[in-house]
Amino acid sequence: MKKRAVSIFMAAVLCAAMLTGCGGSSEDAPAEADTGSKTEEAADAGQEAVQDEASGDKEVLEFYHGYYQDESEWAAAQAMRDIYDAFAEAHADGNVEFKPIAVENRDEIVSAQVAGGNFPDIVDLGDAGASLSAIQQGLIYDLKPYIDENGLQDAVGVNYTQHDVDGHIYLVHDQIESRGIWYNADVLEKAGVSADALNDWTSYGEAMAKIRALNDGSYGYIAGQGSSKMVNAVLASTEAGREMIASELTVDTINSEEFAEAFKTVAKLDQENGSEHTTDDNGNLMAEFNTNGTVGVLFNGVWNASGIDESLAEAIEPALFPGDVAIASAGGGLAVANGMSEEKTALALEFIKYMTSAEVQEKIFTDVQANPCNVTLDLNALAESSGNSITMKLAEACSQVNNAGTVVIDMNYSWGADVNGAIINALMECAVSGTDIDARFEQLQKELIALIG
Amino acid sequence: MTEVKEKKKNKSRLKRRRSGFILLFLAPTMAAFCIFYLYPIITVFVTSFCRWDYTNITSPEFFGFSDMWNNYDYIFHTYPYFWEALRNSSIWALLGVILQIPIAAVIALALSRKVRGIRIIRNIYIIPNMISTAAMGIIFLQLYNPSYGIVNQVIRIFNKDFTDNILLLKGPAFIAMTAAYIFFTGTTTLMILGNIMAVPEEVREAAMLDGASGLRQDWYVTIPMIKGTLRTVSVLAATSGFLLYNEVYFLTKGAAGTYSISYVIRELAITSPRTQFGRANSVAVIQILAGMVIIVAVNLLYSVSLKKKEGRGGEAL
Repeated sequence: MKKRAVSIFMAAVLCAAMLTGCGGSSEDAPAEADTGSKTEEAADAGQEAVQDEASGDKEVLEFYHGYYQDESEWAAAQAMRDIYDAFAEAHADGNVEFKPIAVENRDEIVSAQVAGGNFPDIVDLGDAGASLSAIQQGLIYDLKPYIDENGLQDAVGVNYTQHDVDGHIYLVHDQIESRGIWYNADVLEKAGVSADALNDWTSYGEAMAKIRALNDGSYGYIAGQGSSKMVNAVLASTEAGREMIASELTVDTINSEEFAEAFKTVAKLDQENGSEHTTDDNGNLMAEFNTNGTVGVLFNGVWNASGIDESLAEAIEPALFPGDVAIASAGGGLAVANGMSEEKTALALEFIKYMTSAEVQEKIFTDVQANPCNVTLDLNALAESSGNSITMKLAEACSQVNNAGTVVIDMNYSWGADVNGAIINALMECAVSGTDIDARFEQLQKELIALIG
Repeated sequence: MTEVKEKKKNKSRLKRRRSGFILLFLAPTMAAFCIFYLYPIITVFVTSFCRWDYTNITSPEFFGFSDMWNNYDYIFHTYPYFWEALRNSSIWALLGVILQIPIAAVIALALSRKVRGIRIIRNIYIIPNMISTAAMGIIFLQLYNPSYGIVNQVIRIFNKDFTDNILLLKGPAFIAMTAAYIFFTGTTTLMILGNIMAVPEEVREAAMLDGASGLRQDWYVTIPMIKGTLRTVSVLAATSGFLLYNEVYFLTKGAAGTYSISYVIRELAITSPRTQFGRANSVAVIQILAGMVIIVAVNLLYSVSLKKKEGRGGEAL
């Protein structure tokens, strides 16, 4: 009898534990987003928002974004959160509550929701490209009619053309991923070359050889991730190449002379530069350029202005890719869910207008230190008035990109991350001395044809 | 007669009740197994015969019986990294058994010795195993750094002019990747060590009386007695080698012929903008089947070696 009682008790405990476990799962879900104190607060806020909505007090517009970092870790994240909070405060009295939610795993949240046929109310996809499956399922609101009706073409800038998908615009990125190059004038001078050497790829190669010849630990440039941007820029130097970058990757492009020329030009430069200066992530070697000052050129975006060490601020300058080429991509950006209530949709659209407004765009430039999408701003004047040397350098870099003779999209977005990864891997392997570049290119062609199949 | 019938009835009632209790206690585990293992495995299997990508993310579509092998056909004949990934993952699985387990066993035997300070050494040995594989990847990225990493500096002792990044050299990159995980045998060593400690002292003493001490005792007494554990850790080492992912992600991203099966699945399902779930699942099916083959192979290997030992049962120490 005693045994039976114990057995029943044990079974009851097991069942209770199981029920508790299951019951907790839904509450735990938002907590997965927790990473820092700010994120935790935001996730809690999100939870409260859902509860409020459920109780019918007020409709809640949830806005997921990836600026979760603490101010001490990344000041720009706090600057973005302040911008979002200001909008929430300004609309606190409305029928819909605006709730920004900072999450570290934004991409996973979006992927999971899209896989289930849902989409967050609003989300800032950042540099992650548009989700093709979300667009295909009709989960994202078409922003084009709103942009046209309100005359926001200049406010959204390059988004208007780059994010145009068959006459629809599903994303608007408030900041543009803009890339030229950065060079260290001291290193170039020591090697006896002027900045003009960076105007074409032949003289660029010669300049890098002279830097290597210094034999003092200096080297030409950080290859690998940056090299794929070089391929991008070499391709952009011809009309046919520009068309190829702007559209989806095709077999014709893979087999074209332009693509072969672009790849082999860069692969040859990379091999001369050496595999020891090659990385799939610029971040691994960035300090050698920004802090140690031992690298001639860095292929990185305008945002690198804020990473330059004070001691090198005088020497490091922005420039364009050889051939007066810049890479500017809207990338991902803000996306609004389809099928929300009229009031929620109206507030979401109001938020898009707010984020691309001159007032907010100025903050994105001066406080976040990014290239704003709004083309009506005078960045140099803004930089002058800020009096900040880094902001002035950023302004110079942004102005150069915005006024470049040729501006193209990053092929990472138009051709896809898997294709870009395959090109980077092939380039990195070519950087090893003695690698047969022609053979590796042929192999890459086969890989790319298979990847797009 | 009625008494016999009554007894039989009671017996069967007791049996039923006992079975009921067993089922009741098994039910939560079975439910969890079905929800978290069986259902996903069946889903992976079924959807590997479906067109399932960004165009129909919420509704996988069966290819039809005539085209049902489409995903497999693409993976086997078109996808450029599959065979490389399968070969690499299989080698890592094999190395898990033939390299990692002997290393772990030797270390466990060494740590089982009763010498001064062995407890501290045991603790020190375990520390690196508390570091995540992601952090380990980053640490090894520094070790392999061509400019200041120790590995290139050692190579330069033998070859003064060597400057290349070994993570980009076909062949050496694979060895470097293997070295980044294979020597971290903490958990395996602990499992073996625990089993060695459980070998009865009388058995050791008997072996000593028979003239077996030190390495002979380890070889003829300890190792045969922990064979069950060795079999289990071999299966674990082989499967974790086969599933290698973090090291590939952090060290090479597949460059220089270092793709793994897990990395390929990520490439198809996540990196590809076309979200190729169907194709990724066909690779996952192969991964599951290969995992089963590995388990069977390791078990067979141990069964064969056990039988051989039994055959030589009377062999003197």
